[in-house]
Amino acid sequence: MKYLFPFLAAPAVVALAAQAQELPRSWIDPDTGHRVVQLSTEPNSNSLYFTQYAYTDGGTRLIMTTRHGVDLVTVSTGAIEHVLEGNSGRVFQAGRKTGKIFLTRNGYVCSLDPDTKVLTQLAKLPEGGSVVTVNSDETLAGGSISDAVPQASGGRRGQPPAEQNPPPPPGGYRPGFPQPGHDDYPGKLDMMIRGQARHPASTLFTINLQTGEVKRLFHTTEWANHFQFSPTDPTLMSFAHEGPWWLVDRVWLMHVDRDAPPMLVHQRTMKMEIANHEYWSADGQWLCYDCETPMNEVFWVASYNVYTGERVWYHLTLDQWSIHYNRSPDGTLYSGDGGEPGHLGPQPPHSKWIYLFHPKMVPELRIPSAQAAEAAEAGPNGLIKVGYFETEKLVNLANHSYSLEPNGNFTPDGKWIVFRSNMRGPIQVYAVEVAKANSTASTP
Amino acid sequence: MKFLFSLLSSLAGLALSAHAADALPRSWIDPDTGHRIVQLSTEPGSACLYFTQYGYAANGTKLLMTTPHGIDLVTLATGEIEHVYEGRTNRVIQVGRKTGAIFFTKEDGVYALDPATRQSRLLAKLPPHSSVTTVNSDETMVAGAISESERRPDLAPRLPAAPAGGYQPGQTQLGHDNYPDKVAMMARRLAARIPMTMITVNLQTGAVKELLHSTDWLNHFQFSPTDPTLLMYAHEGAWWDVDRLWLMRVAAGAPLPGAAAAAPSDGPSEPMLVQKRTMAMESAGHEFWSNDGQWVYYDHKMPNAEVFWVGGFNVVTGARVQYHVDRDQWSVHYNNSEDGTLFSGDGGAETNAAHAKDGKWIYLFRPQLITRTELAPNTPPPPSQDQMIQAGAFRFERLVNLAKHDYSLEPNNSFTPDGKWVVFRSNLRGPIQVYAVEVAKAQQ
Repeated sequence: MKYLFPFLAAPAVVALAAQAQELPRSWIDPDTGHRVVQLSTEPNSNSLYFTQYAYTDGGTRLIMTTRHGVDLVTVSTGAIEHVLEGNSGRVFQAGRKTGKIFLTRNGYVCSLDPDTKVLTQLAKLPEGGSVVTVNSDETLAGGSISDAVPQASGGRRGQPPAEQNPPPPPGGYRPGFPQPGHDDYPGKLDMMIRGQARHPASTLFTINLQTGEVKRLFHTTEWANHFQFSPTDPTLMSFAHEGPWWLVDRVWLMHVDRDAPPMLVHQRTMKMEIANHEYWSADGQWLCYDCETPMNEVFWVASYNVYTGERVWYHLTLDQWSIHYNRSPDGTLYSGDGGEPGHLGPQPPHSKWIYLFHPKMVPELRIPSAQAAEAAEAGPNGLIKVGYFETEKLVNLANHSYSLEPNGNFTPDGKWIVFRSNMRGPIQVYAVEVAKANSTASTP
Repeated sequence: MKFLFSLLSSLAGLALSAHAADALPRSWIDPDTGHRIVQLSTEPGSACLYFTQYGYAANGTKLLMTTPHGIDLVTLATGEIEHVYEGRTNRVIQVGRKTGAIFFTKEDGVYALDPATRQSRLLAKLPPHSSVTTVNSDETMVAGAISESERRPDLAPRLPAAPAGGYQPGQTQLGHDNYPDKVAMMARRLAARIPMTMITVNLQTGAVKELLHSTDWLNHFQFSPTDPTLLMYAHEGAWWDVDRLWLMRVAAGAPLPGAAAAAPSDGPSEPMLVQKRTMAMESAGHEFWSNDGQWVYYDHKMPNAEVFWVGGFNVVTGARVQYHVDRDQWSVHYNNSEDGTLFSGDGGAETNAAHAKDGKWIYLFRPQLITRTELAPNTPPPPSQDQMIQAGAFRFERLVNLAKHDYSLEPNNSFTPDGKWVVFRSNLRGPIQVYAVEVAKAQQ
């Protein structure tokens, strides 16, 4: 895999010269010793949000959204294929079963076949309805129907469809002048606070992608958001109560086929405690989240086993804090995309890095009788298992502006971490190799 | 006070010249902190009491020190030392907060020593195999436990032997607070499940009241400094093996927070657990009362060696606080100033629980609550958060460099009642002596 890129780099540079892009497409970060690859070539290309599964063709190709539509890049070769031209609506994930690309456009849930490039309308969304997740067998999509009168069904209320990115500025994007993202901006917190106060009530729902049947789950006055089906269990879905994190009990689980109330995954016990940015483990066993007790002071990656009730928390230090964490497909490693003073979150002195975290457990010193007592109380009533992260830095993001959140995620083979960045000016999609680069390999 | 000591130091130097190799000044300014330090004791092997034991007599103007010969009092303002008791005691319990009498046990009884007349009298006989370690606020009873653990020499601590021929001048005198066998001893003793009976002994009638029969290892009995029937005690053991902190009404009194009813007129109430562990290797310990009797505070690690707090529980309202402490500021013992506004800490060596690389200091801590009102000035937390833990953090100031101190002896810091000095014991000059450091920075 790593050998292919040096060959590729040369033609890519030639191809990009026309776009004033003369930087190599693959290089070794001198501060980390890890190979970084620029996967996209068109300025203003994006990877998906860190929780959205974006891999197709058995995990070999990555979805990128561009100004022109949807591209797929073969991670091992860098080959880019343009699979959808024009309005792509809102691309929300690849199906884990078929590899189809799911998006909402013009009021319909659609699927795009990456091989035939045929776009199929699967189901018509109800008025005011939006979906952002597909279940593991690709039979249901999940989301909410707003009580407010919709202004643009299929997109975010009152906003243009999210992926309709603006054209580049006159003269194009320039290195050293990062293209701002829209993830973090002055006033975001006020928006969250106002949003929580004024958000219209909504009804959680699923839509059957074969029959079009709309099933209304329950009505809520909370700002319900961040719907995520389990990657393995087609009836299990997590969702969030959005808003200022320290004022909401955010992370919830529910079975969409049962008439049972949702379950709160994390109960806050401390003022200013937050649980945030939740994501599924690839095996569907664990729901993981950023936990801060309290916000900006004590940092954890927490995880909850949705079947056994077991909890594992990893402690992080201030300089490891990241906006988003993610978990490798085999569960042995975590990633973090760092953070920057002046943006939401704590003010670490320098955490502008893509991180690889090696989880370690805190040494177990308990005497056997105490451990036995705990074992008898395992499950939801058992003690939280605890560890910490040892850090390996992967990419120096000193030139990145965190108005754009990198949104790190592992490739399905666990060998790369994909992220988006404006570190070279325009927003592009990158991957960094998890293994350290062989020092004898040629550097393009 | 500081001026007197400057004068004293030269006199003391003369007085001490009889002690070979102790020609060090009795008062100096720590060059690393700028705070004045005073050596209060002059006889090697002198010690202040354990950090929870009230050690101030004569309306707080004199400090109790134990010496190889008996009991001394040192006048804090002048450094003048009085020898008030000659001979061995079993245990000096504390100074009574009401009368200023010095309570100790000897042979089979509880004694009170009048520091003015130096007369001691037997107050009450103790039952066989009992030990008592705390006097209540109106000095009408003592509390402790009966156990026959002394019949199990296999459980006893395996202390390192003192050097043959005794300590040489300049040699660091080791303490018995930490030693290689300590954690193993704790595990051994806890696993033995020795039957114990918690008792109070009435100091006026001699009546012994049995409060609780238990095979938990009951220890660290501490009456409230203001509420004569409220007792705190510990389940001893390695802290991560036990739910350690408990409160109990030993006789009639107001209900404890969360308790349904007041203690019955003949007492005792049900024991109440102050801090329930939720995490593997979580530990709480070294608990102490605030001077006003409102709060119990404790060293709280979540988990051990990783995340450090000083926890607080208000015994009247049930409110909780947690002050976050960084690794280097973690302290074997914390204490609270008489007015409750400041905390002190006695630091720790790399071999202590926090494994701090730069933790050998006496610290002054200024607690700051974490409210983050700047994040959302117009959105007060909802009432649902009233019962949540209030988080805070300690801002630290170093008072004494303990680089030369050996933590086999724990410094056991306490504030003087006027809040102007922090008293501790140390072997930083070789022999164990009692010191005080001024809270205010010295005038240069």
